[in-house]
Amino acid sequence: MEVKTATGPVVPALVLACGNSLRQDDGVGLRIAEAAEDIFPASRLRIVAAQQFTPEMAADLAATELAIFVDACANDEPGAIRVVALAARDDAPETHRLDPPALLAMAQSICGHAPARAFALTIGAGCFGYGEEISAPLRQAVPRALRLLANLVTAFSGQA
Amino acid sequence: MSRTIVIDPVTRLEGHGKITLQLDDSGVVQDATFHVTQLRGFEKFCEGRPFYEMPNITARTCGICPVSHLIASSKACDAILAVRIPPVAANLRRIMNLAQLVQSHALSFFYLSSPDLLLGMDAPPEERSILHIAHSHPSIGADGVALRQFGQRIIELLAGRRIHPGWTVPGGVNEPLSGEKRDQILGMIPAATAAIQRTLTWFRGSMEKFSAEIEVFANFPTLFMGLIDDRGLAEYYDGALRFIDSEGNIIAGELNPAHYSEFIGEAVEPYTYMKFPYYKPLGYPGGTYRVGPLARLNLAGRCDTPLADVEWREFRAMSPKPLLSSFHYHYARLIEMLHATEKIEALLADKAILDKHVRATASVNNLEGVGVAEAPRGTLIHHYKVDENGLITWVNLIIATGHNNAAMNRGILQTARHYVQGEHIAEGMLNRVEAVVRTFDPCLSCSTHAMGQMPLSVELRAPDGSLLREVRRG
Repeated sequence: MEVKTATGPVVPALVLACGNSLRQDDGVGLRIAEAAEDIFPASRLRIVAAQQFTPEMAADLAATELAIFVDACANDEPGAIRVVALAARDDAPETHRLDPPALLAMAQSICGHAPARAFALTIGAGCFGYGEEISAPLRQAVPRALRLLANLVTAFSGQA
Repeated sequence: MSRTIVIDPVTRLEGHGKITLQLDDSGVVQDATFHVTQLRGFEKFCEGRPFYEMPNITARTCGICPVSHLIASSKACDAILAVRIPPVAANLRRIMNLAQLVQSHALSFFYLSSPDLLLGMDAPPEERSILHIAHSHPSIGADGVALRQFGQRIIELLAGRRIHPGWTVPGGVNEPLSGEKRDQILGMIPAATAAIQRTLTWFRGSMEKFSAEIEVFANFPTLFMGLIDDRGLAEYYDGALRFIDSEGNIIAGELNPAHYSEFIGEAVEPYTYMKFPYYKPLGYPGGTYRVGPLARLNLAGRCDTPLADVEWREFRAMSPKPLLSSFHYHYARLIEMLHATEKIEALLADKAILDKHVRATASVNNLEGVGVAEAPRGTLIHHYKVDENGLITWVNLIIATGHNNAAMNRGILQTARHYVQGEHIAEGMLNRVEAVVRTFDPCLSCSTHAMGQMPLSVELRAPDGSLLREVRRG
């Protein structure tokens, strides 16, 4: 069954952002998604933000050729930005959530299509206590992360 | 020597709970209890907040059904304002509520329960997940993904954004629906309807395989409660509350939801933070009732949309009386999804749905407000009291899973008595005890949800607390 056109038009690029906006730095992915929403028209970039990556996002992935996963990374220095190319991985272990490679594999297996290119854009994070504010290093990193995201969209979605 | 079996945590639920089974000397299950081990405290920490913040605060109760809380909370705030919201706003809220129902039912049926239904209760635990279903039954997995996305996409289109939508507000909604968005939603409906119909065809054909589970999965007499409209048909946003008994007799026909405290009591037990609501005239636990899809389809005259009514008649034809086995929650969920897509289409077909006047405004005119709606899992009640400045002084929330609590505990006992014998603990036994809980689709008020395999341990303990045997997985 082809699901990619069931719930919306095909879009050139997709941002999947996740995090918890009530746990300080964990919400940085959502901050970037909110900012991206203000600068890209919906026809050029579809943005999906949630607390975690979930299986139905496979249908969103099946409707695009460029996917950018945006998330906080607890293993990097606060504010450190990393862009990593991703590929589908079918042997994902059972976990309480889906990671991006597993989600890409799911898009291919049940929707028949996965994006030609996929990237993870992560921002190092260190504060995960209660609160809606992100820490200073991350506040400084958000504009750079947004520029990187815009560069990825411009370079790989086929639209200037 | 009596022994205790503990299942902790129970897997593929929303939130965290554990189950304790008490065995007697001969290894027969004597008692079963379902513990909800989290204390969230929303009713307490909301005190002092302005009432108009309540929809957004209480929506944080749950990551799965925030829309249900938004709607019940907004209705309670409408009552505090003492306004009758514009009809178009009520219908837009209805659409959002129905979209929420579809996405939540899709999660319950496809993500959490379909591994049991497709692979069997005795399948290896590592295979019982939606990820495995995506490979073993890709078309069913695709339908599940598409239906969950269908509901979420409608919510996104209505609310404008998926990041903390604040669209449903006291007095109505804060933005009218555009013609473009209406058409987008209408364009998604045929594929969703077809996916649900395919699933219904498959599920009906597979039910025979589960006759043993149907027999013992919370299959006993209780009352049933849910909202109905003024014709006695299924209603999800407004209307009156109806109670029926296990024979199908209407024991309370048109109760005003705002007066819920006159007919619903809340008992407490020392082993869980979740309360035990009951029908007051019959006391506790005699007044145990069930809510949610099974209850709604048992007590309503019909669904009121053509395709769903055909399915509802098939459903009800299985018994001249209300269906009592909680296994049938699965079937009821599919019929409700079909009804929701038809109802959304019908509501959008009305030109008035694009009306621009979508919000009534007022200041505090009542010091108390109750909001009731049908959430996917059952009737959701928000009840607030405020001071003259509109600051919250008291809150009571009765969540659908709470209504089902007593029935869930009895269901666990019934299932465990059938499948658990002595110290031999088979994987299939563990899964069936969990699966009866899953039929209710309990949401344990957690802001995150779990999927797939989680650690689970079963302990056999002697009365003195010493560990006799332990089985662990995950």
